[in-house]
Amino acid sequence: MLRFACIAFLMLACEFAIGQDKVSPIVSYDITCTFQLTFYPDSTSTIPKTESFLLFINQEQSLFKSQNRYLQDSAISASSDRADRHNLIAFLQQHRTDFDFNIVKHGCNAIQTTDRVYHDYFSYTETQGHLQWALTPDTKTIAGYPAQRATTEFGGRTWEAWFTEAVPVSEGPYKFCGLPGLIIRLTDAKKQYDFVLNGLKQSRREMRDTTPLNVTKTDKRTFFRKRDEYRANPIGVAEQSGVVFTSGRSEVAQRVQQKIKSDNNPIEFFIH
Amino acid sequence: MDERGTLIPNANIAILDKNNTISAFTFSDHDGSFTLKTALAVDTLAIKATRLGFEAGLFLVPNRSQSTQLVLKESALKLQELTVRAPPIILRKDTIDYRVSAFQAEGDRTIADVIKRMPGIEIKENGQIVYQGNPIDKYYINGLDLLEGRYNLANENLPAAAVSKVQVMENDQPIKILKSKVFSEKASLNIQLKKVTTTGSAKVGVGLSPALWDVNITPMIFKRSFQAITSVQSNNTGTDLSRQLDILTKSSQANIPAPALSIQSLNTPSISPDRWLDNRSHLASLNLIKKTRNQTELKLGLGIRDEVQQQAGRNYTRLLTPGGIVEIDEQIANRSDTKALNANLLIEKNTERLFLKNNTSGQFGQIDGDGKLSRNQLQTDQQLTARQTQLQNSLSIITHAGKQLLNINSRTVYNRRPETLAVRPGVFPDLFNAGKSLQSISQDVFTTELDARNSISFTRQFARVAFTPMAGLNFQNHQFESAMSTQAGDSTRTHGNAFRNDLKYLYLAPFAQVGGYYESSKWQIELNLPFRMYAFRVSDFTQNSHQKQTQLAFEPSLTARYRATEYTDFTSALSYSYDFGNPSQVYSGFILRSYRNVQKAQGAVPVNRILLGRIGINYKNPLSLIFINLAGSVMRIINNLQYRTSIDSTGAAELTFVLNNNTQLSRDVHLGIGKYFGGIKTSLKLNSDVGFTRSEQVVTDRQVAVRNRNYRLGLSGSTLFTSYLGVELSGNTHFFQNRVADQRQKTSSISQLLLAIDIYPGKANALRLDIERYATRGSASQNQLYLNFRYRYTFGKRKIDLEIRGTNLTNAQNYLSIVNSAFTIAESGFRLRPRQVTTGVRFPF
Repeated sequence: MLRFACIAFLMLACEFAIGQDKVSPIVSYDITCTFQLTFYPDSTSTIPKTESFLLFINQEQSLFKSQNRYLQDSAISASSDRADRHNLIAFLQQHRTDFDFNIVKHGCNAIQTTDRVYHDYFSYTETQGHLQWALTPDTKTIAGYPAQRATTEFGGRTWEAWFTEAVPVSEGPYKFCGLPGLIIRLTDAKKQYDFVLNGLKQSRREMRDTTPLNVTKTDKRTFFRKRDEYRANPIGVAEQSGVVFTSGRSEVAQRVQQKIKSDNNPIEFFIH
Repeated sequence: MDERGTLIPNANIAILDKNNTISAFTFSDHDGSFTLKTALAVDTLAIKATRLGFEAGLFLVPNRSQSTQLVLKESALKLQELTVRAPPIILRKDTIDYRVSAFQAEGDRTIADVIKRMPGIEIKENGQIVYQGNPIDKYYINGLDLLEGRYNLANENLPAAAVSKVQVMENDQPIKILKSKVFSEKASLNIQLKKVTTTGSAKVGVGLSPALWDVNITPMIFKRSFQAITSVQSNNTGTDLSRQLDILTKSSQANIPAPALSIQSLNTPSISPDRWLDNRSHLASLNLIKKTRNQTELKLGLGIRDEVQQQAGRNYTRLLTPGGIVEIDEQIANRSDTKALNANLLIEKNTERLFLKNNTSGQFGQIDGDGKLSRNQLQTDQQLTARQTQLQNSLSIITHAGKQLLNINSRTVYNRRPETLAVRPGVFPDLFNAGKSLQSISQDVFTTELDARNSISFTRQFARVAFTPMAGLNFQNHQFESAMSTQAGDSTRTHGNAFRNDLKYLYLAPFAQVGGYYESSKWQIELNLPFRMYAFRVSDFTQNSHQKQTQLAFEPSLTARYRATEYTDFTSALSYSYDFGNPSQVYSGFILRSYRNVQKAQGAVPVNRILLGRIGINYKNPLSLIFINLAGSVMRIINNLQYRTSIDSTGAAELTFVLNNNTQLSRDVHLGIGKYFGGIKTSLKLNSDVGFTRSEQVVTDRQVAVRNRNYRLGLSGSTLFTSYLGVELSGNTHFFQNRVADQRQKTSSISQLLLAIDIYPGKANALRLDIERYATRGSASQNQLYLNFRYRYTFGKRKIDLEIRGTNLTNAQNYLSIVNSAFTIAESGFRLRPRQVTTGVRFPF
């Protein structure tokens, strides 16, 4: 049943994407970075998960998203043919991601995040000056780049960033930026989220803007509230949006609750 | 601003301290302006300005409040790139991904070359792939099981360059409808290709001396819903082609029973067949799979093989008999011509709602053998003809019936096998002609078998537990006929009942069982409780005797797996079962099985009760790239019959038995460790076995215990620490100890050491040197050394290889193998292929 709900969602996602694809603008990026994230979604467990992320950079802006989300979006826009639908769903299922967001930075003071709650998309911006960096004199070489350490507080965590002047872009993974060089390693003090640069390629890459069309603009507070509401009552939210459980509602509810319970350690907490 | 005076926004401006670290920084505004304060107490400030698209500028300014202008030079800044290096192994739940490029060496051509380097995976000599000590159950290519277990054809011909990753799915339940309802201990392997493509490889080689050829053309097509592998191969260079058609997985296909008659042959050496196989082999194979829109797969497999083999050498056998030691010394020159054809047509639908699989297959084979043997100057000719026909159909249906899963299985196998062995001059004159010599003797055996197995079961799920009641009926009908005729002078005589068999063996086993399966995130437990009733009827028409026997058997089995952590799991199994031998053990008339082996048994149905226990631990760590498996097993067999072989001074063996319960006990421990050192591209593997068996035998009317101990230790390593040099080293030692009653025999051992060195002096050149050393110790001992080399020149983007190979450079003549068992010592000297040189071209499509 849950699986069915997932497939239904994926199909819905295809509809959105295929519908909007033709009008979306093309952005070309000069640098593609790959980050590997090791994280603990369940703070009570010792089992880490890993996921790859992509950071696309040009002179004006950057785009940060999970690699699987990127592959999903590419697959959706590539398969216009309805006969491909079955393969597409299989592909989407193979490339699941725990991170649905798109983070677009127009410089470090204009960061727009598009994220999903159930199957509604919301976008919000960060408050200006959300990162106050403290530089340290510590240096070391990471992945062949000379790097310097800086620290900041953000989203309820203390973060340590290693940045390199060798890549003179004020960029980094997630919502992190504003240092005089690319952040190549980013770790929170509890070592629950750890981004490591494992790829950098300088070549032109043209990409369609794949943010869904029906995005609700909101503020960060509202988005986090919506997400908490969904987490508190996922089945209710699903039913409100028109999903009807013909059987096994309690079983699905139990499984969804279980899943949410084990996903208790987000990268960012909302700080009032 | 830039050199033309254009203002630069968003540039990094940083103040460096004396260690070149940044002590303060800012970014230029839209109008290119910036303000930067510092608390550094130095006279001169180092300011660094950087911006994508410009050369970094370093400016020295005096340390005071001031306004200054920084000018940057435009340049296409080349960043220091970092190539994504995916880890060599990724673990996701029960799936392990091995990235092919991480394990591939310069000289590797086929995917098998690469798989053998992967930690946790082992490729056996026959090509069988073993993961963590257990053979794989399925070999998929892009998720489709094209070859139904005949995977050598793909594994040894698919170019490694076409493959992106090799996946191992642990506890893979290939039947979708049974997922998380029926436990699977098996691991499956999937070859994930880089793209849907047409690929394959071709190889053409010629050589001396004598004239040699080696041709292998294997094109392959892999599309989303269609795959095909065709192959045409022919050689006389010692490449064993039969393995390309061997089924290497445990499948529903019935085995072809071994023939009853044989030509006296030599022990084949335990070294690579291309050192000794004197062959002329041809093979063609066609395999297709088509997946339709409604998830139905159609598969067709056709294979044809024609092979002439010759072997020459000497056998020396010492038999310990009650009457003393019998020594047999034989010079052997055999030639056999084998023709085999197999065809199968399969339809399979595998969805979450229905599993349907019907496999119809036929195998036809013919062996014509010709053996020339001389024993103590006496020439003996043997001629063997055996024809084998096997037809079978298996059907399996699993579907939902209400809330249950309904599972129907049906398999019918038909075997037909006429065999004839002619020996000239005749042997065993005492037995066949009252001591007078015979010109020839001819033995005919004709076997037909019908084996049908049918079962029906229902699976019902209650929360985490699934129950499966099952009922079924197995039926076997064997017919076994034999006749012997001898020629002495001008008269041909067909012998009477003592030398004839006409046996009908009927076996009927209805059974009922209940099975339970429990699964949680940590545990998987399966329990089966079957009751079977075995009913036999053996009718011996020559003796005019009929025996009936029924036996009720309770054959429980328990399998469990516990996942202690994501990396560690424990498995165990316990079972109790019955085995009732086979009809070839109940005939009562003499059969001449080979020129010096005439046998009879007196018909009673053997009842073997088997208790089997197994426990194992598996550990795999994809981050530190270490794989460990440790398994121990105990098997206890209680036989109701005790066999006794009596051998007279001519070497004639007669098999008899007494009704006497006796126990056979065996214990085995296996340890496998695989470790990959990513930084230095080095893979290390260790495999070791310790085995112990104890059985009771009757020797000169006295019951004695026979104990065997086996120790095997295998270590192998391969490294590619530079791109110029690759080294593979493997060593294998096998000790065998035997004790009869309290008498201890001499320990025998076989050791082999293989060293292969690959040198890549330039981009296109590759040189490989193989050194093999074998040492045998026992009743006799020997050391042997073989040298082989290969030079390969690769050109073009398509990687076309030109090769020169030299085999057996030391020109070793014979391979001596020694087989010791409780009552025999057999030494076989096998003539090897001489020194030979071949040259060829090889290219991927």
